[in-house]
Amino acid sequence: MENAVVDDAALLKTIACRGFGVTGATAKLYDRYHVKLLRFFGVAVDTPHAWDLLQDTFVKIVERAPAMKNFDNPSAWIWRIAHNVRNDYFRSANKLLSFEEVYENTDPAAEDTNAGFYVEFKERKTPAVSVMSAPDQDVIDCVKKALERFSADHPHRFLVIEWLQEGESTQEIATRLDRTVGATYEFISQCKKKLQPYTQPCKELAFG
Amino acid sequence: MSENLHNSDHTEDKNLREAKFEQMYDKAFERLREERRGIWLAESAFRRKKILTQLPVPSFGEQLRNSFGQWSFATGSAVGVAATIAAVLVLPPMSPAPVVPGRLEDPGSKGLLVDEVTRGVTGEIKETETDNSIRVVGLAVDKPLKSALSDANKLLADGIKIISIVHDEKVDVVSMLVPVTTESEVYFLETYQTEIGQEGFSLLSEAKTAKVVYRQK
Repeated sequence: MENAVVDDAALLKTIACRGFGVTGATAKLYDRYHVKLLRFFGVAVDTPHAWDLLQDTFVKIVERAPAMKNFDNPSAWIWRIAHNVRNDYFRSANKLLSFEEVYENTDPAAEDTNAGFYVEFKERKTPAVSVMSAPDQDVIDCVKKALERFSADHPHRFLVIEWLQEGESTQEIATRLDRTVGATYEFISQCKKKLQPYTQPCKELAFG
Repeated sequence: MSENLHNSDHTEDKNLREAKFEQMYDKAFERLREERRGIWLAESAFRRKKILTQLPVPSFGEQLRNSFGQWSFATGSAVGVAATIAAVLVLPPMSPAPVVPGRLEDPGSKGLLVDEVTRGVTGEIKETETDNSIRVVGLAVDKPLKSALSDANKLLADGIKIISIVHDEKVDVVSMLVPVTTESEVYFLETYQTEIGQEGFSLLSEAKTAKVVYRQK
């Protein structure tokens, strides 16, 4: 028996047919996308609302799939729906922001307040070894806390950094941000630059 | 010459450090993600069920019609079209139909769990049929028929066409025939009446139909 992994397009086609497989296909699609979408919604709203937006997204997927002629780019279609759901939510609350307002807001000057935060790690600094001066664990803890701080200060940028870490392509991230690839490339570069001051002390801790 | 060597060593050392730091960075990221995943997992199962059961899915009858409309018209056969019309006209159907002869009897177990093939369906593949199909038996043992049909939906969602679903009421066993080739077609339909539970599977809530028997083209 053929045991091919069913791709997103096939699942959406099954949903679109509104036949026997609709619930099973939706469940499979849900399992593939729900964490990604929850994280996407979760940087903008609190957890209960993120679940509500997720539910709205899947309701719309099931409702709109039959009208689709093809699913050449299923991921883009799903993320577009997610964007619309999120925008509808903020529009209804009169809180709809532009991309620039959401992603390129005036960032807190967190890097200026990092010094005290890293003291605890610097105090634990150990004598230099060949490649790294601090034990691995200290450096990992330092980076983890740096990421937590970055995430708190720049949740949307952290989400992009997280997607990069998961190996998502610039094209895929552009789809999720609903931006052009060029604009996304630039935005990713900015995110990396923003992150650098947060992790730099950890690098110094590591290398002495 | 020695200066070049020195520069080369320096670059190599820097690259080594960067690579080492990258490893630490990856581990830190992974730990953070694991921690945060818990936020969503805490109520994940409850939410999943809630979301999936409140989807605007068609009724069972409509699903059946849509399924046969798609499959039988795709075959282009007169019988297929007739089956579609029958599905539309006959629903909800009537009395128990006979179990298809030779489908449930004397399965020769090969001990292969269906889970290994279809990811998530419980039961056993009992034997390979001569008509390029595999018999799946025991899907409804000790559980209601709706669960078996849910399993069938999983198969369909996986892109696996089901040749037959046969419910043997005497022993409450559902047998499914699934094709081993992707070219398999379905074209024959029978229906019969059975009781469907109401909990969990909204798609079946309106249904009084359960048995569909397909044959390969």
